Amino acid sequence: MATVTLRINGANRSLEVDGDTPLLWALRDHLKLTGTKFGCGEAYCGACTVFVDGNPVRSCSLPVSQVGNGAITTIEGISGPEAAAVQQAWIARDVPQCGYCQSGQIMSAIALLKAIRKPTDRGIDLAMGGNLCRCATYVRIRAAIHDAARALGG
Amino acid sequence: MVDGIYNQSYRLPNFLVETIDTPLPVPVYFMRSVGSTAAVFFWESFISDLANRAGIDQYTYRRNMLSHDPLALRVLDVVAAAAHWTTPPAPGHARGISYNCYVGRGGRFKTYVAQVVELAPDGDRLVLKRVFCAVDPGLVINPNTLTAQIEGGIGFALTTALHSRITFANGVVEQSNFDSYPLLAIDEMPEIVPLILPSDRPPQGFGEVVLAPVAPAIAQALLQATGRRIDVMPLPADAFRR
Ligand code: FES
Ligand code: FES
Repeated sequence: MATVTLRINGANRSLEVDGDTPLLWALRDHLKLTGTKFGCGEAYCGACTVFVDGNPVRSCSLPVSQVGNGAITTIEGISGPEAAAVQQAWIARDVPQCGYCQSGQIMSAIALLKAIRKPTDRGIDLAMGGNLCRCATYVRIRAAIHDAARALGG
Repeated sequence: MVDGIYNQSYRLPNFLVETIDTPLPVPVYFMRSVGSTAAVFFWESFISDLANRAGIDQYTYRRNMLSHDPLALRVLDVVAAAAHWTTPPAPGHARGISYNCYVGRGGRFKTYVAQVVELAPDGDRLVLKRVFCAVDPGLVINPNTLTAQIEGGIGFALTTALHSRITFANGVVEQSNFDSYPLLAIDEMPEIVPLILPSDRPPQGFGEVVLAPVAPAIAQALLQATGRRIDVMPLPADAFRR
């Protein structure tokens, strides 16, 4: 056990964990930030996606010892024009079904729109390909990303 | 086990369904669509074989065999019209049509479903481009949720049709995570054209009904496009070779 300090959603949080604890479990079990989900534990499904310094990462496969001073953003802490546009589009399209994958989908969609203002269908396939949805809400994910891009003036 | 067969809709004057319980070495249980995914894959593929044997168009054959059932005809006609079934597909493209009346909860509800799938060439492969899905689920209270079930149900069925292969070695399942047991990903999701028919019947069930017709429609289109008749699920990847 060690005391690890993480910068999460703009605040420093200290917790007692082993350094090899995946960031996902530090978030969920220690900090009760349960918006980030566990799907596979091996970086195949995207349910656990968070940002570290603005880049989407799979928190199930990132030990807390490797986060360092990186600024972590979870679904609970998203903000900014891309996040607002994605949230609005997701609500308008009624994207979620069971909802389990949706935190990860939204994180990846925000990251995509930050990188590419007006993604094509192919660009969406590439950026979202690592986010699985058992309910197959893919039709609406695609449509909502296009809507959000339009709302952002892309 | 024989959902969609013992209660199938086609007019067959001599029809008997018998089942035999086969003891399996592994426990099996329900999945979404209950028995209909496996049973209707067999049943609709069998109907496709009969149509081919008779040399009759797949839509026309089903229509003839359902002429006693106006609600069945309605979904079939609507899906065929929307997909322009009577206009031949573009060169290299192929289509399949399928039908099922989902009888759920011990006969307490009946939802009618007909689908047309479109395959298009992409390099040396055929890919699923679009699925038309006509449904009569009785009175629809929330069309938005119903449409989401059409989209998601077809996507769920595609995971089963294309990916969900379980194998055993030394008594152990060899698949352990999504690398060996993939789910459908966004780049494989076809365009969905939902066709919701108005109805005076009370609301019927809907959560599982659109799944079963997907695989037999794809298999029918593959046979037409490649001459290969596929009768196993998941459909082997090389079945989509052009
Ligand atoms: S739980 Fe991290 S990618 Fe699946
Ligand atoms: S909404 Fe259910 S897994 Fe994506």
